[in-house]
Amino acid sequence: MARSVERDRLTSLEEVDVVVDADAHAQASWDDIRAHLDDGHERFERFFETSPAPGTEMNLYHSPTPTYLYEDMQGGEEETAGLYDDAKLAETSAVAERIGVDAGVVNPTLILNLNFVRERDYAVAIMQGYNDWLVSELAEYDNLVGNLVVAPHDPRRSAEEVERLADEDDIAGVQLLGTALLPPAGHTCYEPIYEAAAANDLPVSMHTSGAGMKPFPEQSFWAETYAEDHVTQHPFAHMVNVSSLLLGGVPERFPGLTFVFQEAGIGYVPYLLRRLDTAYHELGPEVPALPDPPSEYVADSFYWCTQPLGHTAETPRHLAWLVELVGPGNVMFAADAPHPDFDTPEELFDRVRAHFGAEAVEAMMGKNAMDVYDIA
Amino acid sequence: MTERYPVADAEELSEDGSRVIAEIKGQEIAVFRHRGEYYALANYCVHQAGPLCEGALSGDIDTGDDGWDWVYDDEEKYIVCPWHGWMFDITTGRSPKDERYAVPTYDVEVEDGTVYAVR
Ligand code: FES
Repeated sequence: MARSVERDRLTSLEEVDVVVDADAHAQASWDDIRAHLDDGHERFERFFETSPAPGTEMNLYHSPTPTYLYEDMQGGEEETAGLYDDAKLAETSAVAERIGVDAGVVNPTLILNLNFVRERDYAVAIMQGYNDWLVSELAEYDNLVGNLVVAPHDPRRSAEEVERLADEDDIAGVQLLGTALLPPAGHTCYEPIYEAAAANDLPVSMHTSGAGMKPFPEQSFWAETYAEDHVTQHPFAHMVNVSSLLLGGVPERFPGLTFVFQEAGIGYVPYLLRRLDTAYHELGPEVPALPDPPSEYVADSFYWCTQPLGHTAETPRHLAWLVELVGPGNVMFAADAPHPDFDTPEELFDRVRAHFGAEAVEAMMGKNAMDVYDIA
Repeated sequence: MTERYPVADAEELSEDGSRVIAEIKGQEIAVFRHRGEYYALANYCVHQAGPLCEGALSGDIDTGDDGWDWVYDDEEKYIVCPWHGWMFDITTGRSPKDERYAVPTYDVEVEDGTVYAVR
């Protein structure tokens, strides 16, 4: 008797329930941040008013980082439109709609460089001003949620910031920026931040940034161009932070806490995980905090955003193999809208749809992000 | 059918931390004495087939109550492979780091001053 075999494969993106951009971006201008500063931070208002171009000192290359490079991304007619002007969330939402993304998790753009700020109070002021701006912006969009940023310069006040905003409907997680994070993420000093995130059931997202004057990773100091910096910065910063988190035992101390790594693609992940497991066995006494190999904690609670995928049409099957190595349950599609190195959903979907069952594909295209960020 | 094989005089294993490695029909088996008891393990590391039992015995580092501090447990019951440092508990054969890994263990019997491995 013929057995009826149901095809467990998706053939078109139309069949995917929800596509989530797990790493969308918002552009707050300095004016936006200034307009949302609390009273305790007035002295910075004056700085924003009198500085001819606050924030530009973060740029080291002639590239208009963070890369509103292409015309498509430069909203408006005026010459200055684009990077430091009012991109807000309208652009993010427009790009999402155009490429077929249903929902997005919003991260900063200029404020990706928050860790480069040296002065602690100034960093705390930016954190507060940006977060309040974000909350007010997100209220306008039904399909966008966001990560509040924390200032690692001041873990105690960052934890208070998490408590202050955790109950906002549109706040879906905590953004602990990965670049220039010194010491790296596994250090005990960040415990208050992890405690607050765990207590409020918020995942910790880590986004890296490839621009600006940063002390970590150190090789960035010697990058002459944005291109050179961008290639190495993202994966190397993640590799250091992931190693520090895992070998330092953070997932063992905060078992419910989820981490999401953004903006570096996923090619580095299998390599990193094998190296971590090897170090765990070969240097066991140096990793007393983990009773299980690092890769097991990763499988439980670490997620990897896919963007940028590169030009996957060159060897389509390799991307499916890569996703298999990383673990389809731990992959989140990310578009990076509206930044100009964005990926369309097809870039991932077309390469994985024949290789994985429908459920796994739905998960990586959106369900994993909906679960982790609790998107309704 | 298991058989027992004489591997050492009890005198050779009179002290805790002492060991002998014997070849039994082409297979090397080590017998350790630890806290007055005997434990036998294959002299074979599941990582890359190194001579596991020729390595040093060691305690292990653990975390204290707060989960951050390190505490040294000086019970030297871990054999550390001389090739790449993987550790195994001589009393169980198991890796303390990963429950998927273990080396074969064997019963030990002592009779009339002779130590036997049972295989
Ligand atoms: S062979 Fe034993 S640790 Fe590699």
